[in-house]
Amino acid sequence: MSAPNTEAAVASAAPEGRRRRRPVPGSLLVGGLIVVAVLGMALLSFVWTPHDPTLVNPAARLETPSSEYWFGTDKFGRDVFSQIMMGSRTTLFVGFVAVGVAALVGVVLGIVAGMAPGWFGELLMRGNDLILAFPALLLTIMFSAVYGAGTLVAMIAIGIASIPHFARLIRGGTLQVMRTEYVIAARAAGRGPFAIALRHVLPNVSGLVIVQASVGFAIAVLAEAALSFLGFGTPPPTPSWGRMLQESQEMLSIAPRLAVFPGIAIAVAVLGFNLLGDGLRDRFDPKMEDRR
Amino acid sequence: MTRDPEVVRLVVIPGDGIGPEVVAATVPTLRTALEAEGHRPDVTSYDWGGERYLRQGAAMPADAADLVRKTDAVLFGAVGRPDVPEHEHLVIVRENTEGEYVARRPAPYGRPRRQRHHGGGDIRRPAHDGKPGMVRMRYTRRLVRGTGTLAATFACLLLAACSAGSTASGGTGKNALNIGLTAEPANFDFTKTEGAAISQALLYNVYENLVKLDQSGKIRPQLATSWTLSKDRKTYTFHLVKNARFSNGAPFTAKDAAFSIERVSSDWTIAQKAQMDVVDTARAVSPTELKVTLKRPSNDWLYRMTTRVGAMFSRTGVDKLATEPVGTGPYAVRKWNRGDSITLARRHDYWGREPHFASVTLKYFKDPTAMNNALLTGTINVIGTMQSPDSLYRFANNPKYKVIEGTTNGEVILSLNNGSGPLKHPKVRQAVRYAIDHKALMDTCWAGRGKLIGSMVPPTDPWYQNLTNEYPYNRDKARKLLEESGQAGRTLRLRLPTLPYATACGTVVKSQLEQAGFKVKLDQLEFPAAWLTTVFKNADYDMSIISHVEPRDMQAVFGSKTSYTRYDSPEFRALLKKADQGTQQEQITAMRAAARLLSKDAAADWLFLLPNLMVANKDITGLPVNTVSESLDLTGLGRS
Amino acid sequence: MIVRLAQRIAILLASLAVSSVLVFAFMAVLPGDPARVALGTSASDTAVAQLREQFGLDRPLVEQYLSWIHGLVTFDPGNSYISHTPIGPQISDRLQVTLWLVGTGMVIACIVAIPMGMVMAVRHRKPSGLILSALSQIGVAVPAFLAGILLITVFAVGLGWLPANGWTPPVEDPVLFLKQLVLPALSLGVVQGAVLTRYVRSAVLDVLREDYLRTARAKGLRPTQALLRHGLRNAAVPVVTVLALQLATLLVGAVVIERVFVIPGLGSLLLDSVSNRDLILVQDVVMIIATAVLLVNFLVDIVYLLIDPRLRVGAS
Repeated sequence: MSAPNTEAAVASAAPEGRRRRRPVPGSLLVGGLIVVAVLGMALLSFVWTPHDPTLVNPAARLETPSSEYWFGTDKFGRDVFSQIMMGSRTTLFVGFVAVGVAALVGVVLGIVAGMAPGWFGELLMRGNDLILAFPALLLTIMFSAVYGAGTLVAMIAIGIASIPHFARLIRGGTLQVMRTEYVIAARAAGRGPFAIALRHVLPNVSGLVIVQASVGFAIAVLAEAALSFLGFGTPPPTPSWGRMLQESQEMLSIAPRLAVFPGIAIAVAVLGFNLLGDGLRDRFDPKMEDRR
Repeated sequence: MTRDPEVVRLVVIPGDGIGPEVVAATVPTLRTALEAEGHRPDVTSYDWGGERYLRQGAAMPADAADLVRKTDAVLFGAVGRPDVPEHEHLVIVRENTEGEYVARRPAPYGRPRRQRHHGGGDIRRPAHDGKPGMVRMRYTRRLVRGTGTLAATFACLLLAACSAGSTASGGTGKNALNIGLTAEPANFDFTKTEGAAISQALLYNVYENLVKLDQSGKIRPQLATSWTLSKDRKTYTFHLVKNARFSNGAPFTAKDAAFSIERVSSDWTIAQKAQMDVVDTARAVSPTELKVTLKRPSNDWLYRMTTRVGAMFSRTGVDKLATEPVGTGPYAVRKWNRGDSITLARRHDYWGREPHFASVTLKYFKDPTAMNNALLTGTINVIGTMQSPDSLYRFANNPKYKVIEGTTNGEVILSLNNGSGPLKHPKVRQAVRYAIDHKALMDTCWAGRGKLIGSMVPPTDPWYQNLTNEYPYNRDKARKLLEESGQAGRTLRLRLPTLPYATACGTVVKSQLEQAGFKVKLDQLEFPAAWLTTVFKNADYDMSIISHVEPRDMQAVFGSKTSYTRYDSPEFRALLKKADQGTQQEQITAMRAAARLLSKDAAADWLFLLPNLMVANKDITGLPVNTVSESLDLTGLGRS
Repeated sequence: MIVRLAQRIAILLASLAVSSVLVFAFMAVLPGDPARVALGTSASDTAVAQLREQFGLDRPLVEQYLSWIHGLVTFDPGNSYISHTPIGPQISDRLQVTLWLVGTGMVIACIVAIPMGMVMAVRHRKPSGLILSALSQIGVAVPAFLAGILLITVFAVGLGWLPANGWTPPVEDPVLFLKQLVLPALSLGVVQGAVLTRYVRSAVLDVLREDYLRTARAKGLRPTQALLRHGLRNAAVPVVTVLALQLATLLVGAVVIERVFVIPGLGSLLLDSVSNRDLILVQDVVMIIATAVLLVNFLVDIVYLLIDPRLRVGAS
């Protein structure tokens, strides 16, 4: 925000800011709860699932939900609930890999580009924009062709495709931080750029990283579902919500529940991460910080 | 030039087919546009095109060049009657000085590479080598500089005319049929491209053979009216039909037949070409008599003449097999919407009995559910290969549809690598066979449709025998054999192609093997490229699942130690040889023994035989119950 | 201004050059010899060598690269390795199909997103705004192909109002074309619309906080009036950016919808050619998509230059 407006903005934002903070717990709370639930389900699946999710049981094909099979069974006689539980691991794995790759590279790139003066920073950002030329799905298809279809390959591709978003955001944040008095003071005191990056920039942009990570998580989960649908995602028999959805398609008219459960699982998880991101953004929004 | 500079001399060539209709509508538009720009159009119309060819034997007169050269612009309609040979068509190329505007009829599907024309103003009758003749002329400066309106109008006209050329394809109506299939051909050249998709679409429909398989698997005459076999069983004499013509207009003679047979070993690259190795000479005795001498007696050879290696090509029609197949069959390829459909149109000059449908569109679906929906909503009339048997019930109890269930040549096998890895040990292979509960497997992954056969022989072959009891499901025995082999701890790599049945059955196989104490790692290889290279060519696998759909493929899959199964048994090869050279009874006995040997050695595990599952609108008749040949024979289809 | 424009053009050209090298290098490491794949597994080595020569695969990489670029620049990319048909028309056909689909989808997205996003922003503290917000969150969370499958199940198979799938070029049968376009465009549009709604909302919220809007309200305009008269144009800038980028990425992103509705678009062409190892075709499609994205970015930059006076005079 440009300097001449600051005073007015502070004056206006104060009451609104207080009021605006009220809805924050809503999305943060709901989003947080959903994310914790997915996390809990994934952790629990390591020690307990009602049935072996990969065990094929021809005797129990297409069972309807019962006390034995809570969500019923699929055409292989596998327990749907256990698969959903195990599938949450894939979902989290997907998110962590994609976001991990994107955040790691994107944050470093963003901070360096933000701190490096002149043409170097500009060049970095141009290189960064170049990645944008290769949309996530395109990268994934290309990567899968080279390294074979698989979750890890797909998610690294998605991660790479998300780097520019991180880098742009972090660069913006870095530029802002670099203009603050404390950084100017630190530079005057003779601190090296590395120290400034670690001591001042990183802690101040971490909020942005968390927000973007949450959104990136949601994107990755959706991407995994789409890729599984195209046959580029998680290979069988590892349970994955995306693939469950794809497999359920031919059974849609016999057993629609087979599509309903993974469909809901995906939607709820994505919703959770998005809400969490929204809630966190309201907390960490640099504009809000400016106004305080 | 002395004429009035405002006069624009315009030549109009409406062409044939829908061309005249389009041009009739565009000429007034063009007139208005020209007049609006202050020009005075002077329109001359010529009847050049396919219709003129049929009437007068030439698409355009010899002095066409002069007629056109004196004009300022030419307006083309559509040219391209399916019943006029392509190279006889009026073909015109024109461009302005910058080489920007090019129009040519029949409208090409893009400009071939490096087709640059130098030197102006020459016009030739289409040459006999099939190359297009051309008229090339320059826009006069005046017109090039003419205002945007004119250019835009012209662009619209060209566009309208080009699209018009493709409008004629069928799709609806009583004489048209739409069939849903799964694997789209990569091109039309089955002499150089592996896979079943091309022969499924073209064999018996576009290409014909000397002999064909009927629906019961018997060899019947097609282009040969009859044939005799010499005493030493090495020389076949075929008597050929007289009046057959290729779709390029050339007559079919014994010379073409000899050419086609010899071409297999000289030009083909696919694996099946080896099936013609046994031919010594093929000689045209007269235009209707062909003598083929084999190096040794072979029962298999005449049978193979019913498959793609026996397809008859025109001596003047093999230049562009990948895009323009030329055969004697009742249909010709009308249109190919890549990634979507192939439309075949009935030929008017077909020598034999005309098939019922004037136009058949083969529509390709990657997704089985989409194909089901297409039938349910009337986009297609027939599901040619049902890939989701679980959803069959949607049609089974519906009076609007009929479901056909028979056998195919597609043995779904769990291929085992006999050459390396843990499965080199016979006991491990036997353990695998005991560990699989075939009934449960078929019930689970293919909804119980299909047939358990236990061998490489489908029930439609004369030497079929039920071998399902050779390795009855016995998990304890499997466990014991695995332990005895000393390979118990090793992980087996199950590398699946990305095909519906393979993915579904792979899941079940893995689970069943694991329950018997195996360690199995499953991965998927993209089909076709990755799977063919990794598994089929390099044999870098322990187990895989694939349906071998070629007819009588025991030899191809197990008959050589370089085949991907790496099965190496001199005894087996001797049996196959004996079967090929012996009498018919000896053939049956030896083939049975060979199939039993394969089973005993556990060279693979035969999961089940893919069913021929078709669903069609009730009124479609003539659908084959069993698939015995490589072809989806459209000639017998009808509508009641 | 001219300097900046020249700068942008230079950046565009450099980006195109770098990405073409990237694409080419990437394809060069793709496992599987395209000539062998084209001929099948049983082809003799001489046949493969012959085909390699025909495709020019035996030439040095640099030479191959240059001839590829030459083909692209002259709009004559040659023939496919597998189908032996010219690539140019294939790509342009498929691109047209995808553009119809994506274009219509984005129009629907705008129709959904712009009013909804504005209402959400204006009423962001009222229950109606919150409900709309929740709806859009759910829309964002539904995978597009699931939406497609549901639409097919209800409107095509269930009610029989529309065809379940397929594609007809508009020149062949405009009515059928429209009928077949409705469901795929709708599934694309609704999901993209939900995403876009979020951007519209935040753009409008940003504008609502601006001084000039407060001034407008101080003049006595009602919030909606103030927004419509003074805010929209400013809010439109980031929305148009997002829209343009969505359009570009959907060129390949629509492949999922194409698969569900059996539409022969550009993404499907890419998938098919990858699985056929039609290397040259893959290379061309990837390059075209990359070019499209870069071009869109470039245009957005130019539009900014034109409309934003601050950028015009060179302040950052």
